[in-house]
Amino acid sequence: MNPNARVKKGLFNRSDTIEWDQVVQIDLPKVFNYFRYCGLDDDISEELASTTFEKAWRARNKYNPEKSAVTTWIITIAKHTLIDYYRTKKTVYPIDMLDEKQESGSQEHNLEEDIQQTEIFEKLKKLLFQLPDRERELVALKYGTGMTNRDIAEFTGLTESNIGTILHRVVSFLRMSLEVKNE
Amino acid sequence: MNDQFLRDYYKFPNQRSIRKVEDGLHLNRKKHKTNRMMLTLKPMTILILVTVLISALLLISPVVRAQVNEWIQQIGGVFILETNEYPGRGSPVQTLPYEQYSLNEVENELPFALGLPQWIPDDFKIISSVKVTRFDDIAISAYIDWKTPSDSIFSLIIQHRLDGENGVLVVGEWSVQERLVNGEPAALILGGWNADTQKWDDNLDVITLSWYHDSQLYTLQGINEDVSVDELIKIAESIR
Repeated sequence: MNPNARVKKGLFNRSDTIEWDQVVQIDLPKVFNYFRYCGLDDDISEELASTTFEKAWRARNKYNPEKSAVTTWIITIAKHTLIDYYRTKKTVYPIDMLDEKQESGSQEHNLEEDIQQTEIFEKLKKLLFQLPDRERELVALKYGTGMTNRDIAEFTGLTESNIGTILHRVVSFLRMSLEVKNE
Repeated sequence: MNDQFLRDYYKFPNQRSIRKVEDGLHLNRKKHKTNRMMLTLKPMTILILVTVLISALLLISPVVRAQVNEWIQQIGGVFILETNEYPGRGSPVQTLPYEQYSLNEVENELPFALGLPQWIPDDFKIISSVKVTRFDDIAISAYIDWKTPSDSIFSLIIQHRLDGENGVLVVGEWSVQERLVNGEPAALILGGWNADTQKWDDNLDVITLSWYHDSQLYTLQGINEDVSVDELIKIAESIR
């Protein structure tokens, strides 16, 4: 069957509109950081991002460009991937373990001047991981995927002003917690 | 709001992980093309295999069903389990014997009335014999088939449960969509289990629509080359 006939039959026309190479370039960093801003390690974030794209490919026939942008659709899949991950593998890292992970971490930028920054990031990762689910998701959507408050409102069903208030409170809490811990 | 520390936390994935995802997608796309070629060579074989597997899976035991109950979703009374686990793994394949009747005589053999489509694509030719399978005291299924222009089989499967229970369709993750048949929800399933790889293969161009009609489970199954989703729903809505 030629592509036109397939489009006429209405089944694969949706998936054919997805430019996968372009989507990977644009959305993989967002998905990867969505997981990182949920407080997950880089290697786990990479693995979950890869799983997300595999699921997206498998679910390509479900994508409806009239309902949402590709990015929003993929972030929705990422969200479900994260829920599956929490359901099956969620572990709470004790502080000591986080410190060990930091020391044995595979950061490429291991220069001396980066050490302090790395320490802050490790603490931030732990704080993000310990946030309540809703707050953590909002931070991940805002800073991980780069969504605007309006996009997040559409995605979560919360109001824009509610999102602004929650994010302001969470960011203040994180900043204060980092400052206290660094003193 | 001073959130620079959060913005600084952002980092790009390394090139290795980007390549891994790209390679995975390229492989899938390549496999997708190959599978489509294979499908045109032997659509009938694959369709029969999928039909048999799905029919067998409808009869999953209550014990197994209880274990997986928490993951089961329901669309219009059709119970569906989406999983990556091949459901036949570790158990022998059971082939059900079937009886054959003409369309006129089959209703006398069944404890339920057969609803038949009042609309079907013009180029589908009905096969005069109806197959009937009986699974102990659990279920009776009737298979009404049409030969299609691509030399495949398009099937209507009507299942009647003798035990009063509902069967569960075990399908691959992300393979189910909800559609409406005469305003009632129905489950549209894309793809099928591949017995060779023991994995769900959504590259198989098989589409299945399941819904309840007159208290029986109705399933329409065909390949995309023969029938579109809209046509599948049109056939389903014409059943009387």
